[in-house]
Amino acid sequence: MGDAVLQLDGVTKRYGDFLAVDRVSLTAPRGKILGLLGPNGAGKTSTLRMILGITPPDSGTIAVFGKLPGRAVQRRVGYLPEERGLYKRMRTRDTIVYFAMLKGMGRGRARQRADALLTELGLADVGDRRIEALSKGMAQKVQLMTAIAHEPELLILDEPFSGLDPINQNELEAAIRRLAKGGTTILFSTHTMSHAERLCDRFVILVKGHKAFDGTLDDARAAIPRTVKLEADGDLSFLGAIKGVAGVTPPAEGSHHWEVTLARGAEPQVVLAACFERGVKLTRFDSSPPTLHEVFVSLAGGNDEGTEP
Amino acid sequence: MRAMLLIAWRGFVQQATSRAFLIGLLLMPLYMLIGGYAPQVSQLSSQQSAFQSVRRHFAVIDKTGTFIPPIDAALARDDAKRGLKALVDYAEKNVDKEKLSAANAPLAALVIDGDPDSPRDVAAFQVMGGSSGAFAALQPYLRPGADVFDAPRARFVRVELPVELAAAPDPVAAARPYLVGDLSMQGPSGGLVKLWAILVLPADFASGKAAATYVADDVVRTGLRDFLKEALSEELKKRRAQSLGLSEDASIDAMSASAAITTVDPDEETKMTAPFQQFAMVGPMLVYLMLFLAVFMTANMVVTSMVEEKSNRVAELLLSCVRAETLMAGKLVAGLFLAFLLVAVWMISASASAAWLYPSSTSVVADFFASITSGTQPIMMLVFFSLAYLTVASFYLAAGSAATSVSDAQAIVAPATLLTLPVFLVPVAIAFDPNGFLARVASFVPIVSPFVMMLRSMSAPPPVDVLIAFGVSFVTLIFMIRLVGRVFRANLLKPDSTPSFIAFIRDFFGRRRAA
Repeated sequence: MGDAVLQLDGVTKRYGDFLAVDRVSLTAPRGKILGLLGPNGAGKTSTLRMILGITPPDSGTIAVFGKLPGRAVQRRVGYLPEERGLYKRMRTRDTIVYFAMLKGMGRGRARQRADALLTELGLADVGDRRIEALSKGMAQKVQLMTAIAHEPELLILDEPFSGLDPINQNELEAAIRRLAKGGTTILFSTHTMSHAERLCDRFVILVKGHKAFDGTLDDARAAIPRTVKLEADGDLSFLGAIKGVAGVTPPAEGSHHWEVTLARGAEPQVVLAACFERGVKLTRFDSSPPTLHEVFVSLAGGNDEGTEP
Repeated sequence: MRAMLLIAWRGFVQQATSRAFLIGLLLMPLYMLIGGYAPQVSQLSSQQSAFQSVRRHFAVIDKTGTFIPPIDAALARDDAKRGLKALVDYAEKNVDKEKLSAANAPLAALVIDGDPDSPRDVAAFQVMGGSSGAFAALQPYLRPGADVFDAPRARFVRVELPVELAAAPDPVAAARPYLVGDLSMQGPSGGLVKLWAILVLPADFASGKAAATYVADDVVRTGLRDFLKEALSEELKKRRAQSLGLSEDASIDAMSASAAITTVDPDEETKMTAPFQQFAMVGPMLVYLMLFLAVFMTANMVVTSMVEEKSNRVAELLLSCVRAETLMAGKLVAGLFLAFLLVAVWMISASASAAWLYPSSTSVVADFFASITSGTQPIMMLVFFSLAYLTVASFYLAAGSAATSVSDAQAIVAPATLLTLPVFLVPVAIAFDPNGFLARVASFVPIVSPFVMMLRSMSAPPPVDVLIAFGVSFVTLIFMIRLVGRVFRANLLKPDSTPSFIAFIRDFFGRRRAA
């Protein structure tokens, strides 16, 4: 990808005997939103810290805007860490200005940006309040402002929705969309699939330190076998014998919910036709494509081999 | 550099406006005031106890029949001597000396230049009417708003034994209830008083064949006994002189002779006054202790600030903006600014306290500060103070980066400080010989060097010592910063555990791989 803002190639990181990141390669195209997904301990934060130059990789290469991470590119990158933290006694506006200035912005411009962001995110009236006097939601917004005040070209968000109520989650989603629309490349890590599904252009799924998936939502859906969900009073185990069905999962005790896994390339209609021929009365037939959540669970829940589109 | 200064400035402002710092900043001047005022209180109290002491009443059974008058005369002289001392002290603050000298030279000679230890001056004071007479004569020369003169009262008073006791076959035995406090007796002013002692002079006391007997229930407090012995000895000497043919005046003159010693400073070029020399001896030590305290106080603040940023999770955000080395440098520089502020405020407070509490010492203190801030000395002091601070604070910063709470950080810092405290107190041992052999050797010992040189900077050390000590201190600091940098980078983003002191030290010296 010639227009890649970020490129990782075979990056590995160990902490003592623990392999945190294992030969991960990924690319973030300019102006896109890239989701870095994975269960807890998958190596997301370690990967982000290496991209930021906070910790060096043990092997592999990282290029941010074509350069090694560090001072040269720090000013072009914004970061919202998973562990939120601000100076409690500092005033809101001063906090935003301070971090913007640390990123190289002049004081006057930083003040303008702080005021604009406070207004944009609905916190104009708390600019002079100390951080310790803000609600958690407000403080999280301020934290985001510290990450974007210096107008970064690459914004890295580590679990940005963690701890936010639904309203603030929606506001943050809208803010991320605005930034992406404005041309900012966004890399964010999360294990909340619904946000990722709505926001991301591409996904990278890490499992136990290595990359299990890299691609679009359609690629993700295609990466796992398609399933059909059925509900009926009768026995549907006969479906396992028909062509195009890879497997049938019977209902649990007290349930009528069957799950039929299709073979690669098979259409759901073969299941519907078979039920019709047998005269089975279905009360539910759901052939929706798999959600990202299902893809994630499928990949992270035991398949360590990884899936490439 | 800009980012480092930003971090330093924010850290400085945050700490300088914190309650802990302000308390530290103001407590020291308060301690200085208390420390400076205590001697005054003590002196005043001792003066008061000397001037207004509890009276000791005593009786004399004089079987010679000749020693009562000289004892009474000695009592009068003692009163006059103490009165003169009190009046001289009083005149120092309350009398217009120029006016007095111009108008009444004899009185001025007594109350301005009078010596309470001089028999002649005491005699002249008695002639003038003692405390009451001299104070009355002094009235026209008092400054407006002068204090009231509180003349000391007699500390020893002779009383007559009640007639029945004096007539008893054994007056001492008869007086026992009075001596042990079971009974009180009539004092000279009419009230009841305790009989402190009885002095019995046997008939052949004057010839030296028999000793006097001092009978008292309290034989520990010997002030009265010593006074009586001196009075009797003086009278015996006078009688002996007279028996050798000297007139009474001649014998008094002979006994009044005393040796005079004038102090001369051979080092005329320095033109140091005696008070200045005294202050010049203790002054550097006081300044050193101030600098020493500033080093450790600000180093502790650096730890607190670091732990706070780590526990607040701000550290990671900062590291996304600047390199770990920049953050570390910013923290250290912020602490250095704080240390400068502390020292400046403390120095000014110390000078102001001295000037306020001891107005006469203002020039002495000013001379002292002028002497230690002339030429290259302040630069030397500043450089070695900075090196000392950076050496200590960098270690403390490493501890702060490894800890998850202030108490955890203290668990690392406290043992290290206690172990090395004797090293930092080496300068105390060399305070009175700052350019001696031990001082020179200590100047070249890593870690100790900047502390010793902080003190020696005030004593114009040889340039070669300064250069070598600077080299040693600087190389030590660089070595320290490299070790600290490694620990700092390794530990800053480890929020969940604090290593033990031993584990930290092993990490610090690279004996264990910092994960």
